Amino acid sequence: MRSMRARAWAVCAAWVTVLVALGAFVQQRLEIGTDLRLFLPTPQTPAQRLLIEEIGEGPGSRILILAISGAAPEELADLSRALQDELRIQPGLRFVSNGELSADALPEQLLAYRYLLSPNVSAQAFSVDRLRGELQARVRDLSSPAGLYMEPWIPRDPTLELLTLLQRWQPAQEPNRLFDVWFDAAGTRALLMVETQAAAFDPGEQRRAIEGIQSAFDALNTDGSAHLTITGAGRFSVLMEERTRSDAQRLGTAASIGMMLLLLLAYRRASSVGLSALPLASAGLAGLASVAALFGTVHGITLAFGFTLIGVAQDYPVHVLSHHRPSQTPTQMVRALWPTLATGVASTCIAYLTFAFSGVIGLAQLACFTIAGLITASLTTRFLLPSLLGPARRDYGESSRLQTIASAFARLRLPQWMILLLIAAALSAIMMAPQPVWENDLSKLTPVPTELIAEDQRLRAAIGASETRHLGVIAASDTQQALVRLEALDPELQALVSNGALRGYDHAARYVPSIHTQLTRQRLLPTEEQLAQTLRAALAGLPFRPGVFQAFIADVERARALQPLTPQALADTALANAMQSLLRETNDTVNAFVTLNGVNDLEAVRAVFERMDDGAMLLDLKQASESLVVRQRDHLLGSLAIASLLLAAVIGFALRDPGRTLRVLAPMLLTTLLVLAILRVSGVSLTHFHLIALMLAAGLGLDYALFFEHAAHDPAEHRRTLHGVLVCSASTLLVFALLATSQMPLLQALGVTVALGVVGNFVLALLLTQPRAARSQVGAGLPEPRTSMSISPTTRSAPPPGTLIPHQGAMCLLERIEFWNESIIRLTSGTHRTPDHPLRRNERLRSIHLCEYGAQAMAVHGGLKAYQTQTQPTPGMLVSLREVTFTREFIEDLPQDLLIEARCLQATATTLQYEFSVRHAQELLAQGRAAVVLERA
Amino acid sequence: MLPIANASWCAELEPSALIRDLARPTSSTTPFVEVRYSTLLEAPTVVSGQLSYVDAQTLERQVLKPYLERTTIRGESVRVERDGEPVRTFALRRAPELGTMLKSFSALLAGDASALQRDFELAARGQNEAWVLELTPRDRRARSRVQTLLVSGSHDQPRCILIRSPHAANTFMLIGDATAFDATELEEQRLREHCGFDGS
Repeated sequence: MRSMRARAWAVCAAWVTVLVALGAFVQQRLEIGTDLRLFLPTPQTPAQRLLIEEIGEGPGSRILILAISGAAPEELADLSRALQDELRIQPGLRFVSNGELSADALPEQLLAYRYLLSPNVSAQAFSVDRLRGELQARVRDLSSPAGLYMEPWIPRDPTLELLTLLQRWQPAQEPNRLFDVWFDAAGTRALLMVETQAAAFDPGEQRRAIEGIQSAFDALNTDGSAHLTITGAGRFSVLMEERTRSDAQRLGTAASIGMMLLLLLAYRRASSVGLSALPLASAGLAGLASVAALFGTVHGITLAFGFTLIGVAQDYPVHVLSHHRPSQTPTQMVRALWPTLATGVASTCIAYLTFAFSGVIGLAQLACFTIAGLITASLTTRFLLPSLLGPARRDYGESSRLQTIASAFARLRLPQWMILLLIAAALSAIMMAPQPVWENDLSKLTPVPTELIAEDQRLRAAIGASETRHLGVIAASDTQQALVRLEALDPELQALVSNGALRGYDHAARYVPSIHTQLTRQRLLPTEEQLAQTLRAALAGLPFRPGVFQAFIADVERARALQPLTPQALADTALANAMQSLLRETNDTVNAFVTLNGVNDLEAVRAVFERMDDGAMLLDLKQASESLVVRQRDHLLGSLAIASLLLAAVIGFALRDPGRTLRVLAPMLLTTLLVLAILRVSGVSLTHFHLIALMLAAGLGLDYALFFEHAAHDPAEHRRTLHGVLVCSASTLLVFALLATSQMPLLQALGVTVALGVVGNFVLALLLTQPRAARSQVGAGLPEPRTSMSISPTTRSAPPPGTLIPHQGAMCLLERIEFWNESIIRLTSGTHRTPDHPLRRNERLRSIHLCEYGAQAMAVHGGLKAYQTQTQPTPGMLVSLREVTFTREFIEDLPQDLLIEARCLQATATTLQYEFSVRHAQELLAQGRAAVVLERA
Repeated sequence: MLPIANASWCAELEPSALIRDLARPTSSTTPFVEVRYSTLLEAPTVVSGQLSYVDAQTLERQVLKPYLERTTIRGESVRVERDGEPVRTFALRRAPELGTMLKSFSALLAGDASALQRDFELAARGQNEAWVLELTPRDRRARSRVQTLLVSGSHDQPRCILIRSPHAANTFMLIGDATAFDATELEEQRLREHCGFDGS
């Protein structure tokens, strides 16, 4: 006994060591990715490719809009400026602007380029009339308060060409401006625009960026009166992830507590609760470790889905705990359960294996995680749990309460026509439901509250940010060609703006014109003498001092000799950011983006792009991402279809009996159908999450059915199974019913689907796994194998065992057949009390003779089976007895009848393996194994 | 009490004490004339109107001649309203000269010596009847725009502010009694004398 304990501790310690090592490995190796691209299939169309490889969800979606409110406009403007300064040095942000025009946008050495970049430079630009008009305006400026700061700049740039450029580089639709910074129309909120480096659907990076912004603001907002609002796609993805996470955590905690209470209630032992957590914990770690070893990173979605799917593993220890009983050692008990458990695990794993070949990394990870997890959980259950289990206090096979439940279910019979009717009703409900079958807009699963969306749209409109859904794309072989094409497109876009089809747009050529355009402008610049002459004429009668505009003449002269500016030359300037998001170079192509805002007439805009030569298109990012979602789901569905076939094949192979296979598969199939029908009738469109939930439910249902089917012919075993499955399904139901109360549709979808699936699978597995075949085979004069779960004395018409075996007279030790089926027989006998028992010595009957009772039970079983198939029973010879244990020395004084049970473990043409036990009342008297060799004629 | 009995007659003029004496009650209003000499223009521009000291943060500059214009400076923000034109707003940061001037101005009007000392090096010369306070921005960047700010005055009455900028030429702001000035004679040396900058 002591050595057993020590061994258990050693095993446990070794296991914990392995787990800790795995944990360390995972912590060290595994990176949790939040980039959704890992979970998307290979793109097929150009739009999908752009979406995935280039832009994530489009440049617009990286934009966050910050609104500062709650103070006087002047203070808000100050905060806006201070925040901009802070954010400009913050990592993770590509671009920060509060609308202030910064003369630093062009560094000193590039200043002369203003005459090549400004659209104002035309043949008329340096005429006497135009210059004179500009100079008159400058005189007025000099006497205004603004004059003080314009004064140093006017000699160099009397036409304010730089200002023109700076204004042009602001968002196309100039927002309201107060105190030089952007405000909303009402002037109550200062606005800033921030572009993050990370894509919107990367909540991890977005969170970092947003937290940085918030803490920078909090540091500035010392008196705490002002308030910062952050909106944008990235903000939403963080918010929704947070809400989902907090919901999941809250409900998960509640579920865990509920589950522990339930397990405590079921097993009345704290150690049982602890033990039942072991396989799942091992599964999680093993799953993570194998993903870490094979992939290095794991996607957050893989984790979420994976942990959902390995939830099945929680049932393994529950089955073991429910079958644990005084009459068997834990090892024997688990060994008996193992084939059933292993069938479930193997079929599920082989099914999930299809995911590994789906071509989607995220799904492959999911397969790896789930398979490693489930195998580990089952091995933990098989090899670790038995050595840790303490002695059983009771046998759930003898619970009268479970017997009541079992009998109640036994009376419920589901006629075949009703099943067919159910199928028909479910199918028609699925077909007839008016809503689309699939939800392609995955953002619906993490819906942003409408007030937030409205807020975002208001701010977006106020600041003139480009919209996130539509994006023009122009493909070209190099940057210059892209710029030329953008310039060709520009007049058409301007026409769209002026006729109201579009509010504004932006593209790279607005910042840096093509070399061709710059050269054209350069040719229009006057020579030094020409300009000096024109200027003299323009200055006539104006109060300017002579010779003040030398710097202007010099700059124009310098511009005449400049090499045209290329986007590459802007690398270190503030413009680089804008260029980077608008011009994307890959190996052999350049994609130039045209961002749009305020699209009022989509068709007109689309037509403009379609009129361009090939390589130009108007991308509908929503549609592109939806088509990706559809492709991804097709992958999932294809994998699922193959998985179902494989699963059926594995079950069929394991059970080697079409009838039994059908009984095991039917509950799960029918449940899936019913759950689908219920979802459809309640107006749900299906998503990936429903599919994953249905898969989990199917995995659970398969296990329930396998266990019920396994125990179908043995009432005590059936009651233990019933106990186990009741605990399993109640705990799973608890967890997922709680999830179903979540406000987050993603969790709700998982919760509702699995909860429905658990109920359906439990009820149907219980009803449909009852052996119909056995009932229909009742032969005349044969004891009817009882299909009800009652253990009351069997029918009187049963022949005494003596008629079935060669033993005669007093040597026939058995009296009544209580129950039998193909694999098990149970008999009772009071012969041990008879004084003239042939095996008594000195008036006493030794326990060892219980082996003879067991042997005779096997013989009766063989006889019954032969009788049923109308064949001659084959004589057999008991050749070995193994692992026989006794609890008493003598048994003749036991007052009640003995219960003898023999279970056929293996039957071949030449040998039979039996396991037998003899009990008196609740007490186990003997158990062991026996091998019989058949004597063939 | 005779002024001759005042001990400060002989004593070193102490800038902080001087500034404390300059404190105005809030919402006091005083007329001003601004003469700006531009390096670009042959003749200086002249505007006149009223300065209102609303509170420690807010200053209002109302131009009545030659056009109507109201500029409100609050914190870092400037709002310019001109007849028949949309309201313009901009940041003081865009106009460091203006910013430096206005900061000093409101600190003077509040009699807030410590605020002034934070942003400027202070020096005073002259006597109670005719003193000149010299403010030099401590910030090097501000100094590149505004070299010094000179404030002249008599007793607790400021008279003129002269802004000396390395880029633009000087701007004179005449306050209160000093606004009584013959605007036809805009020769800079005369203006300096009128203000009392060359008196010591």
